[in-house]
This record gives sequence, structure tokens and C-alpha cells, in this order.
Amino acid sequence: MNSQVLLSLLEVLQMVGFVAFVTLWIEAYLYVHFNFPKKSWFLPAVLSVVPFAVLLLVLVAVGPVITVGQAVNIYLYSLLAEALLSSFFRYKGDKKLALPYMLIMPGFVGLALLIAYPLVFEVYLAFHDLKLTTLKVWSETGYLPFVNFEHFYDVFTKSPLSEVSFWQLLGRTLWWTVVNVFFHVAGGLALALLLNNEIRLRGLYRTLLVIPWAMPCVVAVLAMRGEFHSEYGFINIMIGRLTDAFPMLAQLGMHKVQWLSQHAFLTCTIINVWLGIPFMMVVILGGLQSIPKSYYEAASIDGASRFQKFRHVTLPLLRPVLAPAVTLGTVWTFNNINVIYLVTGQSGGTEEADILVSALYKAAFTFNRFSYSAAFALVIFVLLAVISLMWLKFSKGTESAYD
Amino acid sequence: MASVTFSNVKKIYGDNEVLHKVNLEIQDKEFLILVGPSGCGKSTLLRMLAGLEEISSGEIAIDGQVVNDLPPRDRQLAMVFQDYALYPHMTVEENMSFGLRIRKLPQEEIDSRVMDAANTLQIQKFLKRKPRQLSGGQRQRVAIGRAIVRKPKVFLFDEPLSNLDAKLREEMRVELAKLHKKLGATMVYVTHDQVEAMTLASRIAVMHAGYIQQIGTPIEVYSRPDNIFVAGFIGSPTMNFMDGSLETEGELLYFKNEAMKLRVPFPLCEGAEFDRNAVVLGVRPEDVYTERKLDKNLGDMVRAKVEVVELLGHRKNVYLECGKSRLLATVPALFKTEEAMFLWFDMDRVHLFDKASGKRIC
Ligand SMILES: Nc1ncnc2c1ncn2[C@@H]1O[C@H](COP(=O)(O)OP(=O)(O)OP(=O)(O)O)[C@@H](O)[C@H]1O
Ligand SMILES: [Mg+2]
Repeated sequence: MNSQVLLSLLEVLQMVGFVAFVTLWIEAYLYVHFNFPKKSWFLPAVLSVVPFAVLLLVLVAVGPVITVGQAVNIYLYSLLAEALLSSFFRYKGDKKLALPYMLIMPGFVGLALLIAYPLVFEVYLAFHDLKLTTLKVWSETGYLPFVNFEHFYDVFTKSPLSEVSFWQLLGRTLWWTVVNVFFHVAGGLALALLLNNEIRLRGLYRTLLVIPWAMPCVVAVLAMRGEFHSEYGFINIMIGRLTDAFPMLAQLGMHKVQWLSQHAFLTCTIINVWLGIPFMMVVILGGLQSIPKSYYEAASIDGASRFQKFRHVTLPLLRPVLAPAVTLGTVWTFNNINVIYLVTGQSGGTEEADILVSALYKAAFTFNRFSYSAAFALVIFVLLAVISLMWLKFSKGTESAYD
Repeated sequence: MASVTFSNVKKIYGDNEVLHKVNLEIQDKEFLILVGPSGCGKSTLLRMLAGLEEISSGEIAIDGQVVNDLPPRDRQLAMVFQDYALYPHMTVEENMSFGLRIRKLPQEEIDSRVMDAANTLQIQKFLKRKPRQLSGGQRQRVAIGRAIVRKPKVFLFDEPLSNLDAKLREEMRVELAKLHKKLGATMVYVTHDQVEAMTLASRIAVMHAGYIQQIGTPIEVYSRPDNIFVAGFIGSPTMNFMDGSLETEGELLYFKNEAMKLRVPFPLCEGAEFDRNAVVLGVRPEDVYTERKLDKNLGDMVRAKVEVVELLGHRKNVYLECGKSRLLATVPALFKTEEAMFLWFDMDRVHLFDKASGKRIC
């Protein structure tokens, strides 16, 4: 199971590396052309699809991804598109904008395909019925029964997994988000304030504290899961040692617990808080360091105490970095599947800790309810969109303190 | 209002002593200006008085009370920073009243003080704006306003005008002079602009390399500089210096070098220690004459070669070569310059210094 996860992650990494490489190539190519501003801009822009041609050639050469004919077609179409775009700007729009738009187009088309195609397919799936029993027919004939809004109805009435309901999941997700973001900000702020002092070995502390964030998330979570193991984990061993050494603690109710099975939600929360603090710390530390010292000096002379300086100078001036960081953090936490899936995802794992997105993943890939999950995903998407819009509207988050 | 005393104050950063045993008395209601080149320790001295820097050794007293261990909030000072340090998230009004709100003054008191200060500084119109929406000069006024409302014992200014353009700086200089008169407050003002120092100060303290070189009224510092550094630092354009030696012929004392022999018509200081063979003669450019003037006590004639002439409008700067030294003379704009010229120095206003120690010897 775990090796599978690692393997698929490796694949994703390869994919990301590949995309990055291609992007780099295109960018380097464009850069070279920007350095020859005297050339007519039509030719270089048309040529900007050259990297695509090379990419297509590579794809053809590597293996049975696409055929030569398809590659040539794609290349000709992209040439045509560039030419159309160029002539549009020549005769209709602002001539100066032609080159930038032509240069953007290959990337734009790629992105659009990457986002638009899956989205459309997901909507299609949500209104049809793809599950284990229909999978074979679909792959052979391409036929899927149309089921209208049935899946959407099911999302709210049937459990996505075996027992937990949508509403429970929703409540837990909100609670999870609030608790996590709160502790991320509180912990990050506390550490940042400490690190912002002139202390010895500050760089060392900062590096150590950033490690959980710099490590690949999977490694960090799996390592932490090990620490929560009921028999061999650090936590339970320490609890055992402590109660042995100080029997009084045992009388007060301290004892080993089955973290992963009985307190899965708490365990996930602790792990995720630990993982999320460094990001907030780095962001807040950056914010703190950008506050000029003279504000604090002015406040000292105005008579402010340490706390008053924090309250009247630090906090208001941190708002421009805090607001976007909290927004981001909220979305990430709401959508955080890694921690919960990696801690509870193995077969026989509990549902006690699942939030919406981890339940979604399990519904799709553990329970193989593909169409149901598509509908579920759309519901979550709408939910998140609504929450984000409300958040943007009600918080003056994007407004800078320096305005 | 209050007096301030520095006694044997030192500041040491690591193993770098940036202020050496500074002694300075600032009287009540005085406008004292600390002036000196960049890095000489002016700001450090001011910030130690404000309580923003530790005092390495020595004592600072305000009104006779030693404040070494008092935090800034208990020293009853107000400071205007070079970059103003206005809180960017507060309006002008909030900025000005912050110190009063922190000290929990009654609201009517706060309002009336803010209004008073705003009227004095003519910033009533901006009270609801944020600092970002103000020009440099307006921010400057707000920063001063924030100091005024506190009614402090001592006002501290750290190069408050250096971020303003020349014209605005002139205006603000006049305003500051008025303000000092109106408030009758003790003010300590740091600048490296000697024009500000000359025009505003009751007394000037000239600093160099962590030492106070001379303290005195602007006139004293200008007309009787204690040493070569002060002589060269105060006054614009800077004083001309010529190396030479002192020789006695009969009863008379002469200053001599390869290009001139001047009779020195005044006595030297008694007890001054110096090397007769290495002295420096200082004369300000406006005390160099190109024609004989009967109403001046002009000395012996000096021959010089003209190098460059700069026309300033009402005056001309004439750069001259005279033996090994360069001389600058400012002459009326209409004066006709030739390649070689004769010069006379106003002997009532020349200065003699010992070359080795830099100290004044006349
Ligand atoms: N925090 C510090 N650590 C070490 N040295 C310092 C520190 N602050 C100032 N110094 C040194 O102390 C000396 C005096 O600095 P100070 O800021 O008082 O100069 P200043 O006279 O105000 O100059 P300026 O006109 O440029 O503002 C300088 O040589 C500076 O390098
Ligand atoms: Mg300074």
C-alpha cells in the first residue's frame, strides 16, 4: 500500500518535472527572442510554436503516445491559430499587443486543456453512472447510463463511505479548518515573534523549525504516523515512561491510547498543526522583519508598553501579510487530503477523521464510486467557491495596512 | 521644561568606541544643535538621551535626575525621526494622539491638544488622512505635531529636514525657529547641515569622530573656531588653509611659506604649545580681497595664479593657486579676473593653528 503511494507520487513528480522542463524550454526560447526586438515580431511569434513541434517530435519518438500524423496536425493547427491571432491584432486590435498574446497562447492553450477538459469530463460523469459494474461496458462501447441528478441527491442522503454522512463530514471539515488555521497562526505568530528577537543561533533555529515544511509532506506525515503508533511510537513510549516514573500522573488519568484508531481526528489535527506552523511562521517572520524599527522606537517614546506596541503597531502592520496567508491556509486546510489519507487511508482505517476531500478521495479510489464522487467533488467545489467569495467580501483582506 | 546634562558619556558597540567621554550641558529653553559629519555619533548621542540606546558608561540627567535606567516612556521626551516614523495605519489625528491615548488622558484634553497643535502647524485639513496621503512636508509637520501634543520636557530632532527639498527645508527651518520661540522648550537637534545649525541654534556643539570639538554660539564657532576641524566644517564655502612657519624678525612676527610672507599683527595665545615650523593659516574665502580696502586691516600682498572662475550670480568663486596651496576667493560678480592676481587677507579674521594638534594658537 505505502510503496504504491510512493510510486504514484514518484510518477506525479516525474510529470511535474516534465512540465517544468518544457516550460523552461519555452521560456528560454521566448527570452532569446525578446532580445532581438528589431526583428519583425510576426515571424518569431509564429515560431514560438517551435518548441511545441519539438515536444511533439519527442512524443512521437518516445513511444505510442501520438502518431506522426496527429503530431503534424496539432502543429499545423497551432501555426494556424497563431497566424489568426496575429492577423486579428494586425487589423483589429492594438498592434503592440499581438506579440505578447501570441507568445502567451501556447501556454494558455495548454493550461486551458489541463483545466477545462477534466472539468467538463467531471460534469459529464456526475450526470451519468460510472461505477465498477458499468466500467467494462463503458470502456468497450463508450456507453454510460444517464441518471440526471441522482448522484447529487445521493451525496446529501447517502454516506460517501460506509457510515459517516455528508453533514457530519461538512461539520468536521469546518471544525478541522478552524482549529488548524487557528493553531497555525497562533503557533506561527508565537515562533515568529521569538525568532524576530536578537537571539544567538537564530539562523539555526529558523532552519530547524522550517524543516517540517521543507520535507516532502508524505515523508513527514508517514514519519509522524509512526510516532503515534500504539506500541512503537514515541508518544506512547514516552507516556509509558512518564507514568512509570511518576505514578501520580497515571492516577491523574494519563495512559497510553490507540492514537491511530481511537483518536484519529486528534492525531491528524496534531500532525497537521505541526506541519502547517512553519509556513505561517515564515510568512509572519517576513512580515515582522518588514516593519521598520523606527515605528517601535516612536511607540516607545510615545510611552507604549511591550504589549501595547504589539497591539497597536505589530498586529495592524502584519495584517497585509496575515490576511492572504490565512486565506491561503484556509483553502489548503479545507482541501488537505494528504494528512488524513496517509494517516487513516490504509484498509481497515477509520472514518472518524475524514473530512470532505479525504472522503471524496476514498469514495472514488477505495470504494470505486466514480460518478458519485464526481458529483460529490462538484458539490465541494461550489461550497468552497461560496465560502471564498464570502470571505473575500467580508474581510477587507486584500487591503493593505499601508493604504 | 528642562535642562539636560551629559557627563562622561561613552558608547561602545562591541569593541568599537563611537563616543568618547562626552560632556555637554544643555540649558533650559535652549535650542542646542549637534552638528558633525556623517558617522560622528550625533544620532547615537541623541538616541541615548531618548532611551533608545544603552549608555555604556557615564550619566545622562534630565532636570538633575539621572535617567540612565529609565525606559523611554518615563523620560518625558518627544522625538521627531528623520523618516518621520508616522504609523502608516493610523490617521494623522490618531498618530498625533497615540501617545496621549496610551497615557489614558481624558478625551477632551486629547482633542484640545491635537486641535491646538494642528492649528499651530496648519494641518487641520489633513487630520483624517493617512500619512501615505500626505506630502513630505506635511508628514514632517505631523511628526512635529505628534511631539508637540505630548508637552514633553525636551524635544529631540534627528535630521528632521534632510528628506525635504531645498525650498521646503528653508520654510520648515523658519517654522521651527518660530515654534521654538512659541513653545519656549528645550530642543536638541541633530543635523549635518551647517546652515541649519547656524540659523537655528542657540548653541552649536560640533562633533567629530566621537568627540565634541567645540560648543558655543553660532558666532563664536564661526569666528573663533577652536581647531582646524571646526574651522573647516563650519562655514560655506570652506575655509582656505595654508601650511607655513612662524618666524620672528626683530620685534615682528611673520607667517612664511614658499609663496608669501605675512606679518602677523596679533599676539599668539599665551601658553599655547606648538611647533613654529609647522603651523596652518586659515582664512575664509570672503576674507580674501582682490583690491585694497582702506576700512579693513588688510595684510601683506600675496601673488596667486587663477585656475578656475565660477559665476554664481551675485558673486564669483575664484580658485587660485598660491605656492603649494589652493585658495578660494569669493569676489563681486563684476570683478574682472586676470591670469595672475594680487590678494590681501583680512588680518583681523585670519586664524592660526598648530599643524600637528590642529589646535588654535591665536
Ligand atoms: N548598532 C550599531 N552597531 C555598531 N555600530 C554602530 C551602530 N549604530 C551606529 N554605529 C556606529 O556608530 C557611529 C555613529 O553612528 P551615528 O548613527 O550616531 O552617526 P551619525 O553622526 O548620526 O551619522 P549620520 O549623519 O550619517 O546620521 C558610526 O560609526 C556607526 O557605524
Ligand atoms: Mg544619524
